[in-house]
Amino acid sequence: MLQILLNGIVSGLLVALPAVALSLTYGVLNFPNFAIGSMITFGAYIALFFNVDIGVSLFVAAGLAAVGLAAVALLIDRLVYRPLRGADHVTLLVASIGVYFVLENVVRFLFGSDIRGYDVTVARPHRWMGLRVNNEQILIFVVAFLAMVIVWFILMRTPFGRAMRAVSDNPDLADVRGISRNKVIALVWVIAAALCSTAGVLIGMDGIIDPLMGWNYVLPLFAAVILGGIGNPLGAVLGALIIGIVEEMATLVLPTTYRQAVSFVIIVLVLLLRPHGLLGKPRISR
Amino acid sequence: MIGYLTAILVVVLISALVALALNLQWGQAGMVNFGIFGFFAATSYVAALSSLAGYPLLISLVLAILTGVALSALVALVSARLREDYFAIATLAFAEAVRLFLLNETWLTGGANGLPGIPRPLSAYSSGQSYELLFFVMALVLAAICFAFAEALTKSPFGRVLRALREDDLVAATLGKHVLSFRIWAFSAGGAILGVAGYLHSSYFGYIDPTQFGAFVTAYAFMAVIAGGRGSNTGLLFGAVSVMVLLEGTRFLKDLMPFLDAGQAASLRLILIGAGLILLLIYKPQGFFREHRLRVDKGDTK
Amino acid sequence: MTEPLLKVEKLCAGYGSGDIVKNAGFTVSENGISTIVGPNGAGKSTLIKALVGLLTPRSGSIILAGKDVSKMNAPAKARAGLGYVPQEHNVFRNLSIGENMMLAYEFIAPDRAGFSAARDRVFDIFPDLVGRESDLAGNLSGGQRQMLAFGCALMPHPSLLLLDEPSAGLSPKYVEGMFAAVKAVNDAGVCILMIEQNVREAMAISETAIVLAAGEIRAQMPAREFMNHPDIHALYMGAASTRQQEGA
Repeated sequence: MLQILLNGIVSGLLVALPAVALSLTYGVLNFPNFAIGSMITFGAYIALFFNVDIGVSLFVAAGLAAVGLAAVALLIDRLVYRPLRGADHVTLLVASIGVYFVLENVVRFLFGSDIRGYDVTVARPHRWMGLRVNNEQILIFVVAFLAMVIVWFILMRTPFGRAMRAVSDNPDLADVRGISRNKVIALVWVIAAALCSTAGVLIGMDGIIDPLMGWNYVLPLFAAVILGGIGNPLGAVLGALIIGIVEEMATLVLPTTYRQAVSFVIIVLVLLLRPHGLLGKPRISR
Repeated sequence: MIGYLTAILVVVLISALVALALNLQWGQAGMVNFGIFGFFAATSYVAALSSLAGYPLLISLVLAILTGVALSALVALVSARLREDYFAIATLAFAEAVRLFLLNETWLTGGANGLPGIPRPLSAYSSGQSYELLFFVMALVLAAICFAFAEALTKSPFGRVLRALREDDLVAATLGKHVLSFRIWAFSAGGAILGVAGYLHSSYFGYIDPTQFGAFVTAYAFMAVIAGGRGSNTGLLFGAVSVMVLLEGTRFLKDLMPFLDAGQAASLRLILIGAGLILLLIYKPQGFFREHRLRVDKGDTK
Repeated sequence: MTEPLLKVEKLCAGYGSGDIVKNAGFTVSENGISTIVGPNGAGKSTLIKALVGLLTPRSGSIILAGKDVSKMNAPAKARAGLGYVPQEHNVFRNLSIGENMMLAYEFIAPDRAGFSAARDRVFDIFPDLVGRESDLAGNLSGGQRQMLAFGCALMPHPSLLLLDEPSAGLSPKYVEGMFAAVKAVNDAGVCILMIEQNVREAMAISETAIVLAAGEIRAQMPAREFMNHPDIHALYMGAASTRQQEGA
């Protein structure tokens, strides 16, 4: 039982990283970014390129992936989302499907569709008080936890974090307050890219790397964000942990292949029963 | 050559039907069905399974249509009240659930291996190239019926209410219209058309597997609807044909660029689909045709 | 007379095909309170949106303290010294009062150090806000929210403060307090240009009246003269368009 809880928390943390990214972009740009999965994939492959093809350590490759993906995200914003700024959110979410196609297939084009893996040695799992813990899980725990703390600090304690929350709360008023929306949006993309690429690398270390790896996370991500309340990044973390734990528990009664169905059920239940998310308090809308 | 031409035309017809369904659901009723590939997959599998079980054309077709209607009604019943973006997420989640089911219930669906050897309808009457032509004519007749059905719905009072709902729920609701039931009907009508599309798809190819039903189906359909001008059925025909011609055209990329391997050529096609969709949204968001409602209004908007 | 603080010339702005504000021209001199009055639908909101930069003017010029700000967007205008209190949605509801005040300052005013002095100045005018920095702005009552919005706009020391119907939606009890606050802010040295429906109360504290009707500036005159004008009705309805240039 404890083992299941532990596994659930770790896989929840893995979902939490991109869930925070999704929640931030949802709040500030006001559309659900369906390309979030392909951002994870893209980040994982940039790291793969540096780690396997160039031969730098995975740690350095992960950093380069964050930088590279941030550049890609800014480029996409400039080419796609900025011309569509002010369009209704259906246009933006359809555009994000277009972005998803481009990103995922650029990966296929450059790297092929085969399953790949990072150049890391797999250590034997540790045993600790009857629990099986492997190094990847410890790493995921530490990295995800650190990332959450950093994002929390940026959001709650820095001017740009306040500006982000301000834009997502009331974009017109943020304009009047001298906040440049494009700068805030750029910062959001950089943070989202860093979170997604980090998640991509961690997912790749823990499992496999293939062009579909990110897409498989899209449902849990949306489930986490909806569960936490849209545009509420801290809620998204909570949502992600719940998804992780429930998915792990579900494997007790369901075949593991149906793990993702948990997300589907959660999305339906939340939308039906608590459209404002689990944290209850509906965001005060304008 | 005739074989190739009819093959392309049948594929165009099938995707036009999927787009036609989306045009009813999203174009007319404002319901952003991102999971359209899931409905399409479900109807295709039902058609395939019933054909494999030996049921004749009409019964398989009706079963596929009923599946489309039933699933659509169910999904709409649960989620028709949701805001557009939530609706998109919910339908996508449904489609992914369908995909999981198809992949994992191997006893029924063959799993990742799919279902081979689906009997082709009317094969007793013809064979070879003339059969291709016969199938095309059958597809054309079915598509024409669907088109007439969609056009009749659009022009009817029902269609007007749908568009009113799309523009403003609240106003329509204060007029005493039952928002929810209208939405459910519209979504189900789209589901019926997806049933026809699913039947044609499985019986034409004779083999289906889950990879044929990915998010790219959603992308095609949205492209066709946007290109044709959201809400316009005639525009949609143009949209569907031009999008499919473009996509089929990209098959020749491989000939133009022989240094690409098959996988790269395939991914390049999908990159072009994504880029095409984005360009369309940026440069032609109203499509190349306008909804007929707009033409009527044009005189008095100024 | 010295150069006016704000000089608007031949300003045209609108949505869609037609112009809502047509060829508007007026000036706001340093110090004092100017009030734009006019019937519903006169284009007051459109005019103020164009002034603030939330709507790009089609043509014409806006000169603030000798600097042409016509083509600037809202953030740039805010940094150029234009403060603005929107009529509605004028605080960040999901942020705390303290955060609202900080945000109002930090992206406009250049020096960090001046923040606490600016905050104390606002607290002096709106003592209700003291000690509530960690409360969520969305939980404030309508009147308190208006005070916070007003206080926020003051934080970066704007040279001109635009108020969009400050008394709208307030209970009568608060309306009086609001106008007293406007006067207090002006006495503290901030020039104010506001739109108001409560003409009588607004004129009691204003120096200048600017009459806007059907998108055009019909007149600009001292407030006292406006209140004693024999034909306010005609000014409103446009019959007095011959007086258009007077006082400008």
